[in-house]
Amino acid sequence: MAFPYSAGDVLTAADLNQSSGLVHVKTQTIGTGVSSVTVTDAFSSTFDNYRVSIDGVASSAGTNMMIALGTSLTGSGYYGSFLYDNYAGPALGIARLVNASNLYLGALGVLSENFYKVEITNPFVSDRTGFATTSYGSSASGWSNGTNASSSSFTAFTIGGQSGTMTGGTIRVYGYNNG
Amino acid sequence: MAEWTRDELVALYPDGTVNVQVDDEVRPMTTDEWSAWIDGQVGQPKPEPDVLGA
Repeated sequence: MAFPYSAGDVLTAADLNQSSGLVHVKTQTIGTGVSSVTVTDAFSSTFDNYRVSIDGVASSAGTNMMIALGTSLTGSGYYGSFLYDNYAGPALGIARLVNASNLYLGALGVLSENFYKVEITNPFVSDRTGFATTSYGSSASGWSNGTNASSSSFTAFTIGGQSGTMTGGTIRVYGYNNG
Repeated sequence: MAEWTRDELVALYPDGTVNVQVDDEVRPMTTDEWSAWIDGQVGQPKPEPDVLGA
């Protein structure tokens, strides 16, 4: 049955599946004093594209939030750029990664005001994985884009600060309906 | 820009005080994991006031 539906339509599972846009996969609460958080079973053959929302996390040190596919932050083959701007000061900067072990998500400050919206393309598909992130933390807005150049398939991802530990906050994973 | 030293990091994060999390499971790092984690931060720049960590 074609979308949009009308009053009285009898919807099948196929109808509901094709009309789902962004589908919740899982939610993970971040613990106390953790250096990293691994979210397993985040990616599967059900979706090619994902949105990961991270909010409310605080750090023990002003640093940057990083991400890697798999179960640790020590991957390889990450390429990308991170641009940031601090509304409260003159800081405007860029950080570049070439064949790095992980990728920038954004600034990670001591207050629980840090949030990140991460678009991830093809983490499960055996192809390059793309990342596009907008973020805010520690008075700095950020934009980070990059790729993992391997063609491996991943079901998990890991986040963590470049230094210090994290406490609190929520990670939500959503999948985009392939259509 | 000032950089983290091992002594500073060990004072901030003594062995046994840093956890790792996989889904809902939170556990303390082993001493080997903790030592590698500390070493990975040595030489990294400390945050600048009003830039990161405000």
